[in-house]
Amino acid sequence: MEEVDKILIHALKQIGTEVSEETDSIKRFTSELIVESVVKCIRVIDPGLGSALPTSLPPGMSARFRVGMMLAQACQDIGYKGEIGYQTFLYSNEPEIRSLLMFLVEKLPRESAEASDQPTGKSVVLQRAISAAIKAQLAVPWLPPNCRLPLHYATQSQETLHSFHVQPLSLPQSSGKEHLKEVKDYQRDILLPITAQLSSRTCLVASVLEQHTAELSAAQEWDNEWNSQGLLSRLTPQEYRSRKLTRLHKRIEDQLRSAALPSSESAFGVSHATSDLSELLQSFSGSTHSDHILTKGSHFTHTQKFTFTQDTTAVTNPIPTVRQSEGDALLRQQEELTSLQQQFQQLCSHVSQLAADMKHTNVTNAQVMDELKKREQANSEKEEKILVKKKTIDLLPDTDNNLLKLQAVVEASSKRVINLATQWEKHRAPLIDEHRRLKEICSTQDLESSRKLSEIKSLHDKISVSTEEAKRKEEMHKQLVTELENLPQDASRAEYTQRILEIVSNIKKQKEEITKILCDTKELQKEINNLTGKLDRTFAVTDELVFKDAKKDESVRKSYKYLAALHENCNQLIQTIEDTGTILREIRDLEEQIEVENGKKTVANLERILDDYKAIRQENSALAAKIRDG
Amino acid sequence: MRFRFCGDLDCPDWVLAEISTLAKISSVKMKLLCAQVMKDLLGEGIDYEKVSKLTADAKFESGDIKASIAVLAFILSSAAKHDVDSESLSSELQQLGLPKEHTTGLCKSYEDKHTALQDKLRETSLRLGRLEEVSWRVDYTLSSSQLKQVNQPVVQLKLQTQGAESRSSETTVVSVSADKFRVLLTELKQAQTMMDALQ
Amino acid sequence: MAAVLSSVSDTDCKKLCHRVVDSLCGQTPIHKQILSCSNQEWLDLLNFLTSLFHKTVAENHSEDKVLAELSEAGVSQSGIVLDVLRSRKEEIRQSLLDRTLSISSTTLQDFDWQLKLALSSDKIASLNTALLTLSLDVRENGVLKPFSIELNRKELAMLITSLENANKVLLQLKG
Repeated sequence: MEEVDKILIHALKQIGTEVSEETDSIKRFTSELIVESVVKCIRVIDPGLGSALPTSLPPGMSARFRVGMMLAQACQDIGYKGEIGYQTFLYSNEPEIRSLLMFLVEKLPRESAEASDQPTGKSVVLQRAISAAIKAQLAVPWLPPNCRLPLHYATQSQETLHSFHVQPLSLPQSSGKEHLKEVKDYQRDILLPITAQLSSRTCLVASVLEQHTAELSAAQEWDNEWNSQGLLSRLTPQEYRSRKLTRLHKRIEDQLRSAALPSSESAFGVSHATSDLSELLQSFSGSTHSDHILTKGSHFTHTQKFTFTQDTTAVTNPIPTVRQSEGDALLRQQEELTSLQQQFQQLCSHVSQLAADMKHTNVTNAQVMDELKKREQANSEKEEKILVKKKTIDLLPDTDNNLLKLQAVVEASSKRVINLATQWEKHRAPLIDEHRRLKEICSTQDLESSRKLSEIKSLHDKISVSTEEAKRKEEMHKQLVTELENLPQDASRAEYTQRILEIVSNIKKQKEEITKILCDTKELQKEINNLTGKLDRTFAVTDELVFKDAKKDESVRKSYKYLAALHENCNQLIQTIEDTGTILREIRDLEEQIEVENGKKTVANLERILDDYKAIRQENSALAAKIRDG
Repeated sequence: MRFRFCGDLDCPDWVLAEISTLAKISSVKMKLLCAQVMKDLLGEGIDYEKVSKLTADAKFESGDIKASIAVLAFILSSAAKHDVDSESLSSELQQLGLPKEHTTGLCKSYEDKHTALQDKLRETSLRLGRLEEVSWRVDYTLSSSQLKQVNQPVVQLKLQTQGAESRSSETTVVSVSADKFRVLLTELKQAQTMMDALQ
Repeated sequence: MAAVLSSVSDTDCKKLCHRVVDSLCGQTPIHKQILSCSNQEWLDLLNFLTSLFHKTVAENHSEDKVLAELSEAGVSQSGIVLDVLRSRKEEIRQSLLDRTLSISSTTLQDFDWQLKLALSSDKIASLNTALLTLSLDVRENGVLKPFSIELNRKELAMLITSLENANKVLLQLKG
């Protein structure tokens, strides 16, 4: 029982019951302690139920009685099956209390921190850390500024707070393509270390951090882009970049041009700005390489400039003649304006007409050119025909000879043609084979490369997934480690298991002993039976023999009588011994019962009940008196 | 005595005094009054005419009406603040001398609106500025007086925010270089993962 | 003005040129006089070198053109100037890019953030809300103006999605 009590007391201490050092067994529990521990247990098991219960016994007797009833009810609600009532708490007896406490301790939620799932565990850890930090900060006393140690700076000083300011740093770029000698010299001899580059020291960490993040994020971004798009384009990174850049430039250029064109056509006055823009465009496209667009642009500006100069000469001419009288000025100006507008409109229409004309002539020009080409072709064809005819005419005089000659030539040439054809075939076959082979190789290589590409992609995916997982696991590990550290350092678990093992082995030993004793008993019983049988048989034989002789001899008859008496006496003796054994057993049982009854403290409890009864009567009478008085 | 709905502190004297005022009106009226106060706490406004009608039976003066509204508002908001369940609130109010029927009515309406009230309180907690809207525009700089060929994108960012003190919103427009923008985005994402880990 | 340069020793010239570039890049704004010449000459020289570096990088001049500008200086000195120019061209370009950006009326100078867990408030005892304080240092017409804002989870998510969208466009515009 000692072990059980120890375990119970330990569990009770863990849930916050104050059990003093001297109380080392349930026997010594007072009513107050019992009530307190039971209430604490109930509160842990079921907070809703336990919150209504007081942890200590009130002084009034009737109130005590009520508390006892409530507690008993609560225990039954939780599921205690044993006998329980107010008397269990107020007039305690050891075995009942022990069984109740054992039941409650078993019901306690085990290792609540471990049982709760991950996120809550995490937040619990965080909350605990926060409360610990706040407690620690509150424990530090305030000190005047010049007494502060570095320990206090974190919480009590404002001077150390710097806002995050970044200044550009000059760093040797490790990724630089070409390492010029001058650059190296500069980096070695002149470039200051970054600690000396900044005007104030406080910026240093911030600048380094930001530079680092910028480079890191740039690398990550590029990596992402390259994996998602660059790899599929099957270009080297440099090629991919330059292609993207040219595409981008082209797009911007096109957009700019389309935006600039309509506006410049509608107003001539802004031709300065547009020429500026086109200049810009030129320089812009100069960096790339798109010549045809460039020429188009310059052509456009050219026409612009042309019309613009015409316009200005027309406008500047009338101006000197118009400064005569001030009164007429307005009128004249208006006139001028209208005339100018007319002129302007005229010019505009002129320009448009010209443009239309130009278009027209362009079209006709193209047509004429086409015709010219056709004619030229026809010409050359005809010339060829004439040549052939001339030759035939030349050959006409000596017809037969020439015919023969011609036939020979034709034959020879046809032979040659055949010859050439066979030769061509000869050459062609291996070439075609070669071509097919190469084609096949090409396609297989294509397949291979796409396969490899997909492999690379899947590998990339795998890598990212694994890194993610590794990160997650590391995090979890960290969290679990902190949780482990925060867990109450309970070495008693191992102790308990050891003890339990010991107990188990003890029980085994005892069991062995019991079986041994049982065997002995059985053997004894067997022996006894054996002996009784033997005795019976011996007695029967002796009885018969002696009885036979007794008929003849008087002295033998006497001995027969003695024998009978002896047998009877022995039987009686055996009976008595057996009776003594049963009585001894009964005595032991009764003694045990007495002990149990003694454990119930019946007498003391009865006395206490009597006292309490008296107290209640007193209270009642007092209350009655009060009622009468009131 | 300490009360959970007062944050484990003693109940203020004025509340104690006005609870007896509350006991004067009938429990049904009290429940309706509670509903009105709850509406006010949830930001839906209170109907003062209705309130004065409800309290007409008990011959409340305007001071009493004000006091009863104040005490109900205190009880409800304080209980929600300290996350007290309605049963404990009921027992504590009864300890303070509010009749049982009144208490049940009050606790019923408290129980119904408990989470809504807490959400409202959480929402109205002090915040130093809120973000209302974000707009952006990406520009491409071709050239400048400082450098002939720039060819760099620039982000224009407009943040519409609600200030800490004033309810009025203010806008901040800022241009951010591409590099800075990337760093900002990366850092914010980092912050987001940390924030997610917190909850 | 370049003539003054010819009277300077090689090492001094190198040092001087690098310091001019430093000041152009905005690292160390003031530098001490290391030459023995009159103040006016000194200032002129500084202006000349600064504008030379600036113009060369800004308009992407060829080296021949620089040499033509430096015709008054000695051969070794102009070689040194060219060396300095070559080695720090990227740096100068970068600082000019920064200057271009700062032409805008308001630019983002710095930013910083803090993640806080609000535990409790006067309205509710257990608040437990994560808040992110984002503080921006905005340079408005040359004056630093702090600006800070508190974001909860939802607002931060909104900000990030909208920045992500902008970043997608940026990615297309980057070479």
